[in-house]
Amino acid sequence: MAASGLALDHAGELKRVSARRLRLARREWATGYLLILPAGVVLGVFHIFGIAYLVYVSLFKWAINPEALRGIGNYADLAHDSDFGLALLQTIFFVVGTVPFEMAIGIALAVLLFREIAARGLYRVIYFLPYVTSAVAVGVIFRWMFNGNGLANGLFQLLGLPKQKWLLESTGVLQLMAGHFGWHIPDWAGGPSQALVAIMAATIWSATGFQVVLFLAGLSTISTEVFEAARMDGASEWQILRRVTLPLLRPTVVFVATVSTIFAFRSFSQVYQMSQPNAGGPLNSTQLATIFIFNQFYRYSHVGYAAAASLIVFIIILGLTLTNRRRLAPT
Amino acid sequence: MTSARRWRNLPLHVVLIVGCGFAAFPFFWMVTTSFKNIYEATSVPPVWFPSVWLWGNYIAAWNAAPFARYFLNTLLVGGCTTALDLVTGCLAGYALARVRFPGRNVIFFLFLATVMIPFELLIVPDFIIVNRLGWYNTYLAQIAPFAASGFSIFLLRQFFAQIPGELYEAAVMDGAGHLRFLWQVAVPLSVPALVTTALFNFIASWNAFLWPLIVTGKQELRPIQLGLSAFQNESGTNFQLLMAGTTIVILPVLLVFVLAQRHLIEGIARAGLKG
Repeated sequence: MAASGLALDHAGELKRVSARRLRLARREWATGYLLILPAGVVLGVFHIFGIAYLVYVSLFKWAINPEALRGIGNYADLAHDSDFGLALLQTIFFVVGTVPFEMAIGIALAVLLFREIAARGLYRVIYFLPYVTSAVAVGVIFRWMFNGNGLANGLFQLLGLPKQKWLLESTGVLQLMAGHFGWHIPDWAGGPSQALVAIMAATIWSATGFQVVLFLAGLSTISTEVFEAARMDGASEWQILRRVTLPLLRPTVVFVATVSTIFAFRSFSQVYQMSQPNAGGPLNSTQLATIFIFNQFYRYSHVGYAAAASLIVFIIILGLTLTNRRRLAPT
Repeated sequence: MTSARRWRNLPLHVVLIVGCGFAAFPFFWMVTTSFKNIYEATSVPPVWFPSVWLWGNYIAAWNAAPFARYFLNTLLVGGCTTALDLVTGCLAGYALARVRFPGRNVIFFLFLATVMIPFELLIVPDFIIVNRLGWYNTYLAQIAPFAASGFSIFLLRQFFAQIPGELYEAAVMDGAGHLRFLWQVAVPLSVPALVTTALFNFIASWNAFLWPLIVTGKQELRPIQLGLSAFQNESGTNFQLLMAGTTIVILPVLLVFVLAQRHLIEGIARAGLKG
């Protein structure tokens, strides 16, 4: 008697097959599940369960153990927490102050590098070195350069400008520059603090090489015939850049913008390393979202509160990614 | 290339070299400072080159903090993480590419989705999990969350999916199953992808900071970046020693990168192209 059952055939569809086929198929199923099990356990516990657990923790007042169920209480408190609002604002300053510059420089260098020039590989290596340098080391080096007796002030002195407090300066850069000319700008319009701008400089330095590599990859997807055709039509290099290269590079630009923005939101180590006197910076002016979460969690043991803040930041990042996805869709 | 073309490229090179200057300058400053004495290091206006190159600074820095221990810790944790990530990535990547089982697409989507979750946002729940498991202050806590990664699985799956079906059918006719095929055919064919994955893992482990900061409390377990961070606080105004220490800490990764930059850059480019 030939037993039969359902199994997946070559096209992945369920069909009735013989008992032998069924046995083989079931064995393949077992192999598949076995192979994904190790990765599944790790990712399942620390990432998938992790995010669910994050939501759970965020509903409690929690120091070492859950103490009281607060429901959305933590979220309500975050909405009224001026420190959290400041952290989000400063994160936006940070993202806006780093990503566009990284991308502009990245595209420029990639376009220049894309031609058949000598030592192209060497240039690429040098530009990428800052990216593989650890964020902690970047923070240490730039903190030293922005030290009161460091290089930045040394250069300022050579230029006849007054010494700055850099990483100890909580005043906004717009206020400082206005003050230099004798104007007055109110506190709330002062912009990012000088300390935060110093950290942005370090971040731009370390991240631009990454952009160069991605844009070079994007440029390589454009077929050379397009360039040749444009050149044969008599277009100048500048015209080719504006009318051919940049439009064709649009998907890459959107992709790089998305990835860079997400990375900027996640910045922690170099910010932490450069923040003085402790994580948060002068008057909390270098407290980005990740640093805020870290402080609430690690320093104050407001674990549930930190979890709620984490979830909000995650939703913001997710929202940015999805809106960019829509812009990525072919027009 | 005609010589006329070469001269036309000169302004290009000038701009590119200026760019190199910006990229390389902090390294230059770090290294030259590391050889100065404390007065030259902290002098304003800046001194560009040390009058005497003090190689002893490196020995002093090495002895000022337990760098040997930090290196050992990082190598141990990094080695284990890389090995585990390769194994879990190969097994899962192969299954998702070539083994038929129900729910395969859902699982692939879930694995891929984990790439979207920034780890910085998982530190709270993962710390509680690790703590509850009793792994606080252990190497295991530093290794476990990174023993698999959606990124590696994705990368390896792409590679395994490209292996022609005829190779598998030939292996089946020789009596091999999926596991034999994976071990004897698929893996050897995917060495470039494995190397790229291993390199990414090595660099990420070497540069790890936030997670080890949270899950370790003892100095003996500290990996290298935590050691550098602590050294910044401990070295006070001895910036020449701090710069020497920083050079020591970043040199291995820079060397690995320069030697293997082809693999790394192409790996990133490929990931970028796939979007």
